Amino acid sequence: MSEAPGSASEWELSKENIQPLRQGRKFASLSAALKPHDGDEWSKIKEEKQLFEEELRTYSGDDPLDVWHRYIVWTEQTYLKGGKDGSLSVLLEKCLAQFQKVEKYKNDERYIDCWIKYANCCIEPQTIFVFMYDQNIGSQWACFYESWAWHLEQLGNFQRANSILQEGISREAQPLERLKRNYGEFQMRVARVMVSSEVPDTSEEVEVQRSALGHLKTTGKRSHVSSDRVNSLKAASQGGLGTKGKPLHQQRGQMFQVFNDENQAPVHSLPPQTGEWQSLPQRSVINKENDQKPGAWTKARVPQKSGVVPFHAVGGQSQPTFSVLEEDNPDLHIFTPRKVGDIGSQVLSARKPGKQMDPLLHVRMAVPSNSEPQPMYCKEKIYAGTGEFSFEELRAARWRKKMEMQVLETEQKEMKRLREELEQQKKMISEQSEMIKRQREQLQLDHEKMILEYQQQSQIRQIELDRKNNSQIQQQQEVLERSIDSHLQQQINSQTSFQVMQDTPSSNLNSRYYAVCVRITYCIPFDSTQKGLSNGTINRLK
Amino acid sequence: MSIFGGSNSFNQSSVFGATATNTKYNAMSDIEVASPPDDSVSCVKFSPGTLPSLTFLVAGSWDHNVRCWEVQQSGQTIPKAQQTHQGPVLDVDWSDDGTKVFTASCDKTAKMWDLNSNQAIQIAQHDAPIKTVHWIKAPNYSCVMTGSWDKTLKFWDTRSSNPILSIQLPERCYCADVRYPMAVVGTAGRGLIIYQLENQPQEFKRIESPLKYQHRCVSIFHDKKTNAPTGFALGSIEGRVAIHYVNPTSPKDNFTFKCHRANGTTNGMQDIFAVNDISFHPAHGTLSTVGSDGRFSFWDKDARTKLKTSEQFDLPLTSCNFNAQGNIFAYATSYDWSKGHEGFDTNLKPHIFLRSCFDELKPSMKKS
Repeated sequence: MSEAPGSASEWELSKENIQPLRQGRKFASLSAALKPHDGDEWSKIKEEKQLFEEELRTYSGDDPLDVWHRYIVWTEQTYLKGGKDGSLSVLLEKCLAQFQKVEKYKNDERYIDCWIKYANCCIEPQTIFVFMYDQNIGSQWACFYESWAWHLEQLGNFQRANSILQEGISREAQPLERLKRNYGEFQMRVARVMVSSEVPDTSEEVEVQRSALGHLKTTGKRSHVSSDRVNSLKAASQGGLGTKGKPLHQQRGQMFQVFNDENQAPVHSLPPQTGEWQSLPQRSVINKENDQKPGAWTKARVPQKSGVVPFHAVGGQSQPTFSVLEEDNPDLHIFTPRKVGDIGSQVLSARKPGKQMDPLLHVRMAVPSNSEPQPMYCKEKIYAGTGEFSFEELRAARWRKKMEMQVLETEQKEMKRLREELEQQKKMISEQSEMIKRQREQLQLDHEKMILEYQQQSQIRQIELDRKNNSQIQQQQEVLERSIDSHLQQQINSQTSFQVMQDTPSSNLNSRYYAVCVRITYCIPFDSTQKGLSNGTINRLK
Repeated sequence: MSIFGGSNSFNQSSVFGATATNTKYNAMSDIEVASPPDDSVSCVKFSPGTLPSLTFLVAGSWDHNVRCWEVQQSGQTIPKAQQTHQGPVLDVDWSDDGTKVFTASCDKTAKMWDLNSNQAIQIAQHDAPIKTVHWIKAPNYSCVMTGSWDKTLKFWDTRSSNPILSIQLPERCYCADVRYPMAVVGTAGRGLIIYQLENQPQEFKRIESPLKYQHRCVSIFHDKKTNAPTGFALGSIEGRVAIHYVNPTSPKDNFTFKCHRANGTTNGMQDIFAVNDISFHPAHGTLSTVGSDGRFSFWDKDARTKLKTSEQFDLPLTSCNFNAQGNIFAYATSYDWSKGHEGFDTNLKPHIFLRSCFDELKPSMKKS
């Protein structure tokens, strides 16, 4: 046997303390609620409850049902035992009464859910469903028809359940698909019940086996039990703990024949929705003929007919000595004043078990009678939910909300301010970067300009230099030419002295040509050495 | 001349010159306290009678402030000092020597305000707003008792940040009163617990509530002969006060009476209002109640008669108190949130009034 892990074992141990819900429970809330009632978990639950109570009173939006519904669902999930523990029915009553006259919630799924939950905790759920139907509450929702039919099915009233589901389908209650599927399943169940009630115990024969806690049939003087213990048990199984899981209504059906009024209109037609059922139905009104009327106890007699009284019962006397009271005025209807439970307080003694309460007693809108005193304070806020709040608490809750809002607002403002600052900084930075970019561009431009200028200058200088050089060269050339000329002249002069008869101009030309050729072939640079060189050249030429 | 002297036939105009034209806010033509709080007044209290020549009045308000006035015999009030909390102030009390004021606030703290140095220090901390604060002076100890909506009752030595004692309450604390050696606490869910304070605070007994609706205010009264606290008056949210003896000589001693009700304007329906505060007269043992209906009433609990009912003010009356000599009755008119925030008219300003009351509260002579 292995020990189950913590929370699972806890749940195993207290299974019977948990009210089962049709839609199931969340495991998280289940294990939290199962914790001992003094730990942290429990105080957290209390805290949560207090928060819900506060929210009920301080809610200011346009969907007040939302808070109620969340609170109700939470209560259902948290208070496992059902009943008075979490005051679920008180909550439901208040919720239903508060929103009964609110048109927009009449076909709100959450509101319908509340009604169904309320019907589930009532002794007579039928009353609630009939009232809902008459008031057209939830007639568009599949869950309404499903829950109603389910309750009727539990009672074995298949025909009516059938007609209700059909009504739902014909009204196209949403979600229609699910309703149809459920209707199909319902029909299957009904069929199965019909079959099993007609041919009893066929399945039982097949899988017969020995069960625990049964009597064994003995044989012989020494009361030996035969080795075939399965069959011997079968005969005695009626006395043991039954293992058959048959629903109650199956057997009930076999017990007696239900009278069927053949003249009656078909059962599956629902009563028309009159909407006339203005005041919520009291049990005493609907169930009038089944209730005994109250009368004076001291004078009460059991109405008896002398002929029916068996002889031995009256102790040998053939005639009763007392006169049978015939009620003169059976319509005289005296109600003993009923004490309405003080809502919202559990200080007084607990409600007595089994006391029949009108299921809609608290839901009914209190009609203010003229003589009744009117509380001149916001009673609905003070006594909303299951607890009570004082004026100061209401005000403090509002103050706290305001403070929180303020804190939030200042935080938001601060955030906004910071964001703005950031934005500004960003802007500044981007501006700076822009500026830097611009500066850089400027610099680039300047740089380019400078380069250009420099280039221009250098070009100009080059040009100047070139020009200068050129002019120098020219000058030098000229000087050179001149000097060559003069030399040539001199030479010519000297030559003419020797060869006067020779063709003078041509020789003169030749010598000049020669000089130029010399200069070119020697590639004489035009520099400081020029002079020397040219001197040299000249000397050589000489 | 003393305006709070034996006679109540003074004329307000003699003090302030001109009478106010709007009489609704001052329906009883009483003396207005100078520079009243800006928001609803949660509590007014007179200084104890240790300094007979000097009378001070403190008031806590929803504007987060506690104010202190000097009340002169002429009826003139001089604002003396004020202190601020982080949240609305819900209750104030004086130390027995009249040198310090204790304040309880929605900011979950209680403070001790030394009037001589005008310094306030935090002396208590709860997990929820603190609704009541009381100074306990016992022969062998003295401490401050705070009751909070966190469902605890804590006792504080004023020098330590930890409580000397913390008592778990069944529900949120709504009202409390202390008269050594007795303390009584009213809680939500109509809980009612009596503590005895001898040697150390201890639960004495729990009482089933004599009222059907929410507890709103409680005030302890003394026995006339022995001068020991013998019972308390408990005010309900729905127009009723219960007089309850801790050890009644006969069960008939305890009774409840209706108050702060009015014949409504339509169809003769009776309108019921909340009882906001109860205060006992120190000399006569008679009591005053103030209600959401904007009226104060004086009662004689022993003769079981009403002594007086005021005219109707334009605002509910939230708090009342008698001075130590019993010749001044102070009461505050301000919105008490009885109709939620929808009923809050910010145009109507809160006021505190002083009334000469010694003769008005003399016990009824009809039956004695």
